[in-house]
Amino acid sequence: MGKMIRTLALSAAIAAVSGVSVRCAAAEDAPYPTKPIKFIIPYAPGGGTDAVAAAFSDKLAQKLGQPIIKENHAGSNSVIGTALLAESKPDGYTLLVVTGAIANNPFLYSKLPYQTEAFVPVSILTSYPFVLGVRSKLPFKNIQELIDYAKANPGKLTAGTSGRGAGAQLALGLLNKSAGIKIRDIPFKGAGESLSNVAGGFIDMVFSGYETVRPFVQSGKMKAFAHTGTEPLGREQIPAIAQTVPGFEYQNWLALIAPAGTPVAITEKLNGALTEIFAQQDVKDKLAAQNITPIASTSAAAKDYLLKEMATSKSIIESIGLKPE
Amino acid sequence: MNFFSNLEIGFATALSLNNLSFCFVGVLVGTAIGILPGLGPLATIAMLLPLTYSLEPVTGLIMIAGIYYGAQYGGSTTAILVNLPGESSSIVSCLDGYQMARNGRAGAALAIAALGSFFAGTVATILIAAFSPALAEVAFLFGPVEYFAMMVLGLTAATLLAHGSFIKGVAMVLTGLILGLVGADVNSGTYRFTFGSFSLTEGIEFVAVAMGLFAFTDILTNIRGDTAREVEAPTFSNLWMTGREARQAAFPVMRGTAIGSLLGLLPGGGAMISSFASYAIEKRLSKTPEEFGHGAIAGLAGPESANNAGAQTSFIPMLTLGIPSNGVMALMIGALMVHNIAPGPYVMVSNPEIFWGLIASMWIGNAMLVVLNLPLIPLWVRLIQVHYWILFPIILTVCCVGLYSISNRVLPIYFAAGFTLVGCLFWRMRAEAAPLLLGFILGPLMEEHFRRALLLSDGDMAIFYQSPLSISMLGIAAAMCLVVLLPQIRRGRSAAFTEET
Amino acid sequence: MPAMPKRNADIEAGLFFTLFGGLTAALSLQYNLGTIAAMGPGLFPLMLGTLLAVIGLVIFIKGILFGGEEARSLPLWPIILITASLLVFAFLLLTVGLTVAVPAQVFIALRASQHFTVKRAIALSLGLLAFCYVVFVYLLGIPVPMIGI
Repeated sequence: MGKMIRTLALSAAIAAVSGVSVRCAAAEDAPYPTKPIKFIIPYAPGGGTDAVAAAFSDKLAQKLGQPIIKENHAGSNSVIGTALLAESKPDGYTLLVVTGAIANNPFLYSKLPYQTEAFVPVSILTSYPFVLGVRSKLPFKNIQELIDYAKANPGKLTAGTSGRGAGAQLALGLLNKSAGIKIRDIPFKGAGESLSNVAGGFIDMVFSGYETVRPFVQSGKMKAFAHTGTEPLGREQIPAIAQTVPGFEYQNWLALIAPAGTPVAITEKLNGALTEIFAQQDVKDKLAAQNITPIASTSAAAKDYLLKEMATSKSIIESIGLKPE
Repeated sequence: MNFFSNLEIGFATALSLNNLSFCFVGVLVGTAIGILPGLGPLATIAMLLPLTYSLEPVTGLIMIAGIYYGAQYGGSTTAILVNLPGESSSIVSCLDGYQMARNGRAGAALAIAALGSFFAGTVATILIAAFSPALAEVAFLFGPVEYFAMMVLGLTAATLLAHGSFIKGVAMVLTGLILGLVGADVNSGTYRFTFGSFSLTEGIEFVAVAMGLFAFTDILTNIRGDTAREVEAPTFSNLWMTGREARQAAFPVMRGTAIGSLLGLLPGGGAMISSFASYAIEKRLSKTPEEFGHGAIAGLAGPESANNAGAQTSFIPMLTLGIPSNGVMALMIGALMVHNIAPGPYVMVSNPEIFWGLIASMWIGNAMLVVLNLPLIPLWVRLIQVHYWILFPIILTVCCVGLYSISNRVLPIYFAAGFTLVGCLFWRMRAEAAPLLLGFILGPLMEEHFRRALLLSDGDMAIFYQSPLSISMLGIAAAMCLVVLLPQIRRGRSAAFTEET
Repeated sequence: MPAMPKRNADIEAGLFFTLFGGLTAALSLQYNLGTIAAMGPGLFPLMLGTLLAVIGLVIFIKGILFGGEEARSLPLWPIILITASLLVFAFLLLTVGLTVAVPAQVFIALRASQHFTVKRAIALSLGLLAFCYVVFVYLLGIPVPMIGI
């Protein structure tokens, strides 16, 4: 019995144990990586970020020959997890998988415990638009009808967003602003809860990832007739909001980020491995099924992307009247 | 779709050697982490999740599910033996289960918890199999208003848990609600009551509060009387429940199962609320309510069954709608997504072996838990019969390591120390700690739903009595208060100035 | 009039809840209160704090008028020792490691019991160290520093 428990628990602790043995075996000057790499996921376990991270982390671990351990540290629109990254050593063994929220936070929180610009982005991983899931009892068939109704009845429609500074809130603010309407923002703790509130008919719509809206559309609880990208989306060919509201675009994205001062050799190595992984057909297919575009950029391009996104976020946040607290 | 052919698919999947062994692993690991304080099922599953990616989806889910209900089970064992609610769902089991153990009925308490949970698990599994699609819709009846009303009802039930004065119970609930608000506010992101400490932005760690108020305070108040615990030779009668005890447990188990099955469907604490709703009901129905808090069998059997039934039925919204009712369910959705299976009504049709296999495995897992744990009861009973001076340092150290393991930080240990002092104060003032803990968990949820409801109604309070569901729950809560307060008021009038105890 | 207990639990509890509620209400004023329709972060705590303070007052008055329950007396020495054992454990765990933190905790905590002997403390410490190593470090793989320096 005791031996059985041991064997079983051993298998449970594979990651940690193998970490120890490798640490002993590795020589001092062996090339990076010589021990397990930790991915901080700044969201609750089981979310969309986890799913994307899972799509490439196993392959990355194989390529690098070291296990990748994921740790979820949720809270404050990813600030908690990001702060943990900032405290970590810049040795490439602690990395952060983060959404576009990281570019919003500097303009939402007056006292961030880190400097966003100082981080070293390894690569932008993916980018994807939000789908607008609308309560199926509402009579609208397309975004134009929805906008017309909202214009005639300001403040009557409600949209669930996943908390202050999350992408969904910015997308909503941007829609309100560019279409000249007022849909009220009802904050929730995460996308899951706001989705079920739309399905239950308590709120009217929600901006969320394609994969999370799809089951509700299939069961007839929601309609999906618009998304925040620029091209028709997926097998259903969901039209873009930009077709009705010219210039409207909001893309959410994921990036892999390292602490400030991480050596170029390390980011290059990670970057090279990621580029190879994202070129593989099965990874492409997996992400394409979720309508997610894999990107895998160079570190320098990722930095540019981050800075550009920060500028975009700043202007959206200012234009929708959110102030840092 | 035929009910029996579905179950056949399910059992065919679940009984494969591979799935059976992973179910066993899950149940075993779950029981172990449930018994050890600190490390909860959520953290463990998050840690093990990557390992399941390489397994068949159904095998991975079966293992995760095993850990989940195994941990519920193990948590009750610690609650009964050493008064430590490692999980929010076992707070109620502490009240009478621990008292039973102190009265020398630990074996009976564990047996009742085991068999009650097994019965509840069986019924809930049948319910899931038979009515999943229909029951799933229940979750959609609950919007912000209804949730708020449910929290009020739950907290009212919580104050009835206290066997001390009602008004102190209310004060303790409020204290808990306030403590629960520490951290970042959902709507605005403002950090409240963190006093500038970044570690507090996610709130005070639940396990630290629970350990401080329950386990550590209990140690302090027991140390002086520790000669009282004599080592008895375990006899059959104190290892197993008597026929009388079994009869006393029967109806509470059935009622608890019914309550748990229903409330478990609701996302956001439904399963937990069911355990104290059951306690309140049993106390109300009991002919001897004064026994509650001193080792009443109904006070353990009802809530234990309720929380296990609730844990099982919380799978329904996850499997049929893709709505996670708690953190573990969110992880299971994550595990499904990794395999490119979108949870929702289509899983039942597109992947019947996953849906029904998981359901069948739950029943098998519950059976394994009973088989695994009943023989362990004599061992546990002997464990708490050792001298208290041996037991309490073990509890202290294991709890401390457990606290550290939550986030690999020592901060929770300092918090637990602080709450030990607070717990002593409450003990001195004869204020029951259980309502505080329940308020602590429900506080943030309650505020969230309250604010959201008013945001939706544009500040119109009428929204709370316009929904029939909400008004009936609030009505029940008010009635419960009246039932408790009226006799006190009447007594106060007729025999003013007499001592009330 | 019933005999007033020497140490009145209701009066003490009433005072405690009133103070805690009042403090919460006062502290919540520093946050934005908002309106009923769009509640700010400060409003809910303000409501809870005020309610608690009022209920605390009711308990207090009840204690003065009706006597109420007698407060239990606290075991002062065990409280100091057990709390100290927790603090010392937390402090030593990260500075020196589990190998020192466990014996330190056991020695301090066991002093609170009348059954303290050095032999027992040593035996318990060794047993617990072995248990912690096997269960937490070896089986569960939790990164607890055995030797933390």
